[in-house]
Amino acid sequence: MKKFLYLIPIVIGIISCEEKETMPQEWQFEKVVELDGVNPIGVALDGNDIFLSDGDHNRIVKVDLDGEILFSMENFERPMHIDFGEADMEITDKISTSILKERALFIPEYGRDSIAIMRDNKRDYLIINDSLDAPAGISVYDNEIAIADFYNNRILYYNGSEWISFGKEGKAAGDFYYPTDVQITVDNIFVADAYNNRGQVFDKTGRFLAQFGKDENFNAATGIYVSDNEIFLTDFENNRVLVFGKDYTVKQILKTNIDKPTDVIVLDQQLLITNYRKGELVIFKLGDKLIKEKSKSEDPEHENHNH
Amino acid sequence: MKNTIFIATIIFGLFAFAKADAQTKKDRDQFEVQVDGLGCPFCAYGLEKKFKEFKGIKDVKIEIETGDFSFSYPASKNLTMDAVVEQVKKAGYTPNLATITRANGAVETNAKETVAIKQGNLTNSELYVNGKCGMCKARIEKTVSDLPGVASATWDVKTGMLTLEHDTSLTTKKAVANAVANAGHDTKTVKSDGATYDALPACCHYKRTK
Repeated sequence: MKKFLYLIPIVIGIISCEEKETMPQEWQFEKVVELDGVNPIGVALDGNDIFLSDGDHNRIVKVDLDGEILFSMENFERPMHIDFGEADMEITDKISTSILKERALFIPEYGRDSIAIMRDNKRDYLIINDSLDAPAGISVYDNEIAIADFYNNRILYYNGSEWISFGKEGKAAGDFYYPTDVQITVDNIFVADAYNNRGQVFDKTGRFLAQFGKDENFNAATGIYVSDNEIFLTDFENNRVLVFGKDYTVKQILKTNIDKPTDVIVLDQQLLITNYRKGELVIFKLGDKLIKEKSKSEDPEHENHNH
Repeated sequence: MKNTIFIATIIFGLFAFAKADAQTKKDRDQFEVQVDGLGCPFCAYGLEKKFKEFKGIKDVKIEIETGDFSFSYPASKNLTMDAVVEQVKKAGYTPNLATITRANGAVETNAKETVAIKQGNLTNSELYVNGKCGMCKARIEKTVSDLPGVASATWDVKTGMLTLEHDTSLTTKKAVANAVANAGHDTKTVKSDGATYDALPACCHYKRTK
């Protein structure tokens, strides 16, 4: 009998531990960070450092989580969705060429049809034997690079040994209508197909695999970010960010304080969303879904779509 | 003595630079256009970029926040106000006040004299107009406001409803529908032609109904 009494708290403990591990989580609004005079379009992280492209003011800024500008790099021509990475690519400072062999910030310059590469204060340009027309987004993953080539309605992708191009203007699966952002993952390439109002997924040969968000009434799907478990797609005109599972079903719709969002990224357990027009960063945090269930009726984030 | 020569050289250099600059400005007309509806950065930057590609154009600059759009163009080509306004429209912007400062110092604007509208003749009307963004809003409202006898025009992005106050003896609802269709926006009764719709900026490509 005594042994049995010992067992009861142990069993309860195990059950409660298991419940905690399986407790579903969701993104909850945390705060708005005002950015002084910055209209952010793209966001990228270098460790915990936050970099924003300020398209309206032709610059890149590094900010902290209080919105303070720590430093600014000027004289870009409409910098767009940026990314950090390290790829052995041929670059030029317009006088000589060299091979990039260190981590750098890749900046698509929409107005200059070029990809600028910044490390420390040195600026080079990526050498591409193909002409871009308004590059709007870039992703760097190991030695791979993908560029969303806005007016050419295509993705230009370097697979580590050669450049390939895929996509054409259109509305069918695999077509684009002004792609604005792109992200390479271990197996795939995800694209924000802005004015087709959807996200698209391709393999690394450029073969179409899937599309998502088609039925969610997007109005300009401008920014995309793919984490280990989720895909985030910004809905610019409708002031929303939709969170999809890896099965492409909608898990959550975020609205609180989101206004003309252009990009999104995950920093630890925080989701950072750029509000372009208002010049803000909106921060959401992962929290237990059960806690929020009590106030479901009051919270606009609780439009969960478990399709 | 050496210092004097050095200073004289600098002054001469500055004088020559200023003269060359003045000469350049003398050869070029300066254009300033106030444009509406730059809500979508991808389209606004794109239109700026496309404008830069016009032969002979220089100093293209657009302040996204204020909508102040400026450029210079060779005076010898005598670019007219109508051509500028048309070109700005063709590029997708909605032009408001435009000012040309000619190389010879003459100033031209497109400011119109406002014709007084008799309040007693005004009717409130509503009309569904297809569109989808802030740039559509600017275009639709400007198109309708420019019609004779229209006192006010407001278009709602979410519902697509255009609300206007107008003197029906000067502009009918049918005329409003025709005008917005000519600007690229369908109504329930009048459809825009394919080429005009296609020429709208990407963000303005609303879903058309058959």
